[in-house]
Amino acid sequence: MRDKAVFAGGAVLAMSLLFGVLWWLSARTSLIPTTIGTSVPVIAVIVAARGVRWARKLGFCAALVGALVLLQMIATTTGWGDPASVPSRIALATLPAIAADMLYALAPSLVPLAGLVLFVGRSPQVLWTPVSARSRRARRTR
Amino acid sequence: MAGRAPAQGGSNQLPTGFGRTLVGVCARFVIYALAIAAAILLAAPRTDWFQLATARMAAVLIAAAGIPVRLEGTLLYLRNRTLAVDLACTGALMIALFAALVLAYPLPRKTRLAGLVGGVAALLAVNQARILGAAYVAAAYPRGFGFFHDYLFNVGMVVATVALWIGWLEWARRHA
Repeated sequence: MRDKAVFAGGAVLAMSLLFGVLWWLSARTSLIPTTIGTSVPVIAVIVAARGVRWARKLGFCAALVGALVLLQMIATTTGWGDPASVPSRIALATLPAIAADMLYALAPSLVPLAGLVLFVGRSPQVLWTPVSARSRRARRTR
Repeated sequence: MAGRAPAQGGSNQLPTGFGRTLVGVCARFVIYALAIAAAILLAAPRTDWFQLATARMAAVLIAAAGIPVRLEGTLLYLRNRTLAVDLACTGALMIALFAALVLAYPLPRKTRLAGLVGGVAALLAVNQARILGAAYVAAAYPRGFGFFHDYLFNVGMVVATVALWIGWLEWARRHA
């Protein structure tokens, strides 16, 4: 229970910090925070995980942010990221239109969650079990 | 990823086979999410009942909270702002993602069904709380509406989805 509380506290703290940084950046850059913002909770969970090496955490976070920035660039350059045109495209109900809407509406949440599935894997225990406890368990198993 | 050693625990390791490997689960999650979202988007122009129901429920809650509101279709007229309950405001896409997360894991059908029913109900409640929160901010702190509606509440929906999924996974692990 204590391990879960420490993990949850860490995740909330990381999320608050990330959100603050994002909010500060969005006021000063052309970054669209609603796209990157959806990954804030996922990145916070990854950062707060207690049973994972930092290199792995940073790798996952970098991959997530990279994928989202790439998607946002595609959406911006193709015009798919224009919310004003979404209802008309949905009304068309053609397959490419649906695909474009999905890229705009779903990808910013889908990509981070897919990353989280890969990170959490088979058990959420990986998030809150400290590295020391895992090492002890591994030694006992050997 | 697929071939890495089991994380820990031991009692809840999934059987082998591509559909049950980590990459397989992730692929299934993406496929389920795209399929459910495509179905929602395709159905959206024909069925606005979900938006109407969401708006009606929100109007009841907003009025119960003591905030003056008038409902016309999917529009919520507040004293100083109008809230339009469109598809994104129903939480349908986050519900689709949550459903895909639950369905993707190769766990017993009963466990997935329980997660689906409980999780979707909880997300609908969270979404109503989000709309009520947006109405409260619009009435009490209009200058902060953009921050709360566009940023904080969006992140809140993702937090709720992730928390529900992790909670369900842990519950399923214990009851396996």
